[in-house]
Amino acid sequence: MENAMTEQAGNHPLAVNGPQGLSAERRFELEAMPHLQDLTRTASRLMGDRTRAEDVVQEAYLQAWKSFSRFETGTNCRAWLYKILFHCIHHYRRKWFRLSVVKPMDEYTEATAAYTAPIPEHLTDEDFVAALDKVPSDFRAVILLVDVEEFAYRDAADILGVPIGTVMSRLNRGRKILREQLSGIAAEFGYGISMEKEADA
Amino acid sequence: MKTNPPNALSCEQALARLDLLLDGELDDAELLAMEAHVAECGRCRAEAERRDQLRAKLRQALRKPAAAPEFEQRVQTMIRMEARRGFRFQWQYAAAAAAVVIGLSGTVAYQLGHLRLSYQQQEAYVTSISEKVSNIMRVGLIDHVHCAVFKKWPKQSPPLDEIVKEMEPKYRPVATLVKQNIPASYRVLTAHQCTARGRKYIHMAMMSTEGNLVSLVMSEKRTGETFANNGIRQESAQRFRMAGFETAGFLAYVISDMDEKQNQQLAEAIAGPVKTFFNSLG
Ligand SMILES: [Zn+2]
Ligand SMILES: [Zn+2]
Repeated sequence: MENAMTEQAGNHPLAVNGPQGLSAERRFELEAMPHLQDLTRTASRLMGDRTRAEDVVQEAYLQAWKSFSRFETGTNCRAWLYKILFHCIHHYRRKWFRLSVVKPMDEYTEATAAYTAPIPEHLTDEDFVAALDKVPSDFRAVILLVDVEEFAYRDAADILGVPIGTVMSRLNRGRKILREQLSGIAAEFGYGISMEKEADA
Repeated sequence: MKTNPPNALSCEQALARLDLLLDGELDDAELLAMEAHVAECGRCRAEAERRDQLRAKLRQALRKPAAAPEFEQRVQTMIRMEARRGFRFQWQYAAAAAAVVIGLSGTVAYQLGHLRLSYQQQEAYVTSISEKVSNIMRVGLIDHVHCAVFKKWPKQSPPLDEIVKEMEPKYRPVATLVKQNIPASYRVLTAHQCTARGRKYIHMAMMSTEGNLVSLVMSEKRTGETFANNGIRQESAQRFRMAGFETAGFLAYVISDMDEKQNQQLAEAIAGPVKTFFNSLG
């Protein structure tokens, strides 16, 4: 029954009422719109400025609306939207910056099997944002998805269209670069830490 | 490190799994083994705390509201329009065109001229906004949207005395008056007479150096139409700020995508001269 409905919804979203008798438009508003903030946040950090971020998010929502009939109610709408968003970001970059997304990075597989330095106390939110912006974008994307938006590796892999192993290695590498950037910023401001020092009791 | 039962983890093994632990990616057996190690081992526990703290701080730093309410409105409107229409709406191309503009100039003007919408699409857009404003404000808003927002404006404007040739001679002085009373950084895009939804307008559009689009829209009063006060009436709908005032025979509107205060200031700056001029036309 639900299948029959979603079939039709492809042609006339307006004409069809979804499972709870809600119009497709209303369901989209309830399920997809609440994630706009999250998507915009992720896009801003990947696109570098708000305007471009808004462009790709708007495009992602349009695409999402157009394929909403194929989205199954009850599945992870947020992950689905993110997948569309990354698709749009990829296209946007290819089109406007001719940055073919730099692929096979050396896949660094080993986990961080070393003790890390403590995070300097005095770093501000802006310092964190600045440090993250310096992480290369493939790695930054994974950090944004896993650390900030708290997606599971499996979802992040699906969103980015890469194997789970790639998510894990990028995450590792990205976090390492992020830590280096943070201690760099901390050192610059004189509240440095020594990387050798281990907080140990 | 202490002596461990055979299936227990070494610190090295524990460290290699620490991120998986924190990311919630371990299966039950591994989770138990890790928890056992971390409970026993101060060094690994401290490391777990450091990594967790890094994540928490990063999340805190980034989890500020990123989307402006106007943007949310814009997306909402786009979806409503999409839902209401029965034909393909070329927003992809619109986004592409917008991207070109951004790429070239580094700024975004909020007018929608680059969208190249059909008249019906414009109507749908106007309708979606109009629902949010009073009838009397709608009179002005309709023309601003049809005639300024959906136009594509060139980067350079001809001189004012060229521009005003689209107006009947008796109205031309209003363009100069307005120009004299607004900041010099505004460029006049057009001054003309136009018709929208069966109503006639006198219309001037200007653009600020930041790319804000402003219209002065005037239309002859119909029976009963009045703002019913002598001041300036303000309303907003989505990104549009509207300030309405009236002369003896006309309704007048200053409508823009600036903030409320700026829009109001512009309206105040031109209301006086415009009233004087139109009331003298008789
Ligand atoms: Zn240990
Ligand atoms: Zn006009």
